[in-house]
Amino acid sequence: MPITNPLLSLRELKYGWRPDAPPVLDIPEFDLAHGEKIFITGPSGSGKSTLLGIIAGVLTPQRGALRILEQNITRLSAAGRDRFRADHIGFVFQLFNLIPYLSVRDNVTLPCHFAAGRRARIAGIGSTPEREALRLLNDLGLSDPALLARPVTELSVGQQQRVATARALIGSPPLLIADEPTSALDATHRQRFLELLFHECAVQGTSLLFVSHDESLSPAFDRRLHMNEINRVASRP
Amino acid sequence: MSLPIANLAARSLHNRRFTALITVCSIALSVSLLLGVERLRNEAKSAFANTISGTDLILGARSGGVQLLLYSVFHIGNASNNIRWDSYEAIIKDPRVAWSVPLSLGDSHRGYRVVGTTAAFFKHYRYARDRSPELALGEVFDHPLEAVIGSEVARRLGYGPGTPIVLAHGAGEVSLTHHDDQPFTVVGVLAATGTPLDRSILVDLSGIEAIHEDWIGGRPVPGLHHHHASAAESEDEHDDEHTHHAGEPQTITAALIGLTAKVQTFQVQRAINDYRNEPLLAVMPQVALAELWQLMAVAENALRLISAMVVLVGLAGMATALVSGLEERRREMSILRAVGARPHQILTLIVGEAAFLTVTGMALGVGLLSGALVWLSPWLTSRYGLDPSLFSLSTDELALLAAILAAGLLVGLIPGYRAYRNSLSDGLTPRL
Repeated sequence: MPITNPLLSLRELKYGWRPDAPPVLDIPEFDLAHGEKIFITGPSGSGKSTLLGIIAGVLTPQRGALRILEQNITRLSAAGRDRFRADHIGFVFQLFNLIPYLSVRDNVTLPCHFAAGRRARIAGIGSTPEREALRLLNDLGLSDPALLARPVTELSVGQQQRVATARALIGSPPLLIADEPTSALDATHRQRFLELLFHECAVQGTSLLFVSHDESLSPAFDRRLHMNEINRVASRP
Repeated sequence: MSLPIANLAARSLHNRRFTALITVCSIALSVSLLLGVERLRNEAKSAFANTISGTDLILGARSGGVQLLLYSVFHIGNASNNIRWDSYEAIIKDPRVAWSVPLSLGDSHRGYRVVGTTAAFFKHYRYARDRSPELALGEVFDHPLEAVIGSEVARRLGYGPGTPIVLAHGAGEVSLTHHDDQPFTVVGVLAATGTPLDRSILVDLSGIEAIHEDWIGGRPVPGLHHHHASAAESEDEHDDEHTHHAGEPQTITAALIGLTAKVQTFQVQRAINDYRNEPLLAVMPQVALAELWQLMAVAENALRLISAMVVLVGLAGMATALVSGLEERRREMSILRAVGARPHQILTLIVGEAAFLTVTGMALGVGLLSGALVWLSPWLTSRYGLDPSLFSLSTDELALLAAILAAGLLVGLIPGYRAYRNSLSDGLTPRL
């Protein structure tokens, strides 16, 4: 069912690793609303990573359209897609999200060096990347100055994931893609992380595309989708 | 390179500082080797070129031009033959000859070569663009058994005016035949010239003749006491020789000749080479030097090639370090891509690191070389008469450094391109 004025919309999208190979992704329709939190699950090989690659703009579909903020991403050049991603999409991965030789604060402000859009939005609210970084870290429960002074490699996995979240969210990108961000966390931390993530997305009005195997998390989301519901290739027996 | 990339490159390198340090050191060593070889080569060349100036022809027994130049001026090697005094006199009688300085070699004192010559040497010998040898102490010899010593001889042996010295036959440090019946006295010390003159002992030609008076064929002959007066009386055939004043030699080793007009050089040279009574050779010092460079070119080029190879090995080491570092930095690259770094910025990051390592290595190499030269310079000067400039870089050396930097950047493109390709194929998903 189409959403009116979605943040992200995919139509008749086909992707194969080679043009003549059978497609691994065949999505007739997929929309994500502004501010929506969506949970996507599916077994390995169901096309989750490929879908994320296409939304991120590092993979180019052979057919179909991908619109984010009403802009057709597939029509952009590689450089244009890189710029668009830097400005509008934040990423949190499963593990090892941080640059080991940068401080916590420098890790968080890193996207501002590459994304003019994020810098502009921070300037628009009269702040600076450093202040925003401290605000986000504080919101995510990382306010201890001693902790922030430590090398990122000495942080716990849970702390690292929160730093990564602050980095993904700095400069208020409209979309946050989280790829198995909780799989390295234990149950208590997982719940706590999710709460903080939801809270911050709500504060910033960021849509969340959350990919995970952990079905126990799905009830907290606005919508839960299995890959075989949107991908025709995956739904074939 | 944009500032964030430069900043990232610096932080990343700092994170891998041990590998970076080793890379920089290997580049530094290879660069200082290359520059050192280059500098000593040029210095040796200019020291050679500066040793003789103003002389139009060198006269000697027939042999090779390079050989004549080497033994007469540079005191390297020995003369295969001497030339007769009467031949020398015949040659210099030529009206085109403006001046001449006879040289008689073959004796030494504690490893330093003795040069028998005349006062004309001090008047006509020139080195380094028309400079005359000057006395630092004392005066020029004017007696057969007086000697003027070079600056290094004075310094190393602690000699000064008044020191008695005994000459030995042959050029070695240890000689079995000594002219100890005829000691010389030092009367003057020359100021340093940076030429083989610093390591020479100059005596009057008649002094050399005096100590060899009883010798035949390079050896003393027992029982043969050959004094001028008695010899002239008893042996008529020697009359000719002994008509000139006492102390004039029968043979000399070589002579420096200056002409009244340089345009006549070839004519005079031919006249000498065609001299009937004895096989003689005249060479133009610059021509012989050019021949010498040609001879040395093979060795020189081999040396340059080897040091250039060493630089390449150093740079290859850098490429190895950067390429192997890339594997463990793939995650870092993916993160940078995810936060918005473009593939060309990843390329810039790696090539920038290579540039930084190369430039740092070069700077350290130049510093290392300067340090080594400061440390070695007294030894180089005293032992080889080389005086390499310590801190200034010549345009040639700057060009060499620019070439090394270019090579460093090219080498950096290897890991750079790999990282670029990886960042395209890996996308944002870090491969673990």
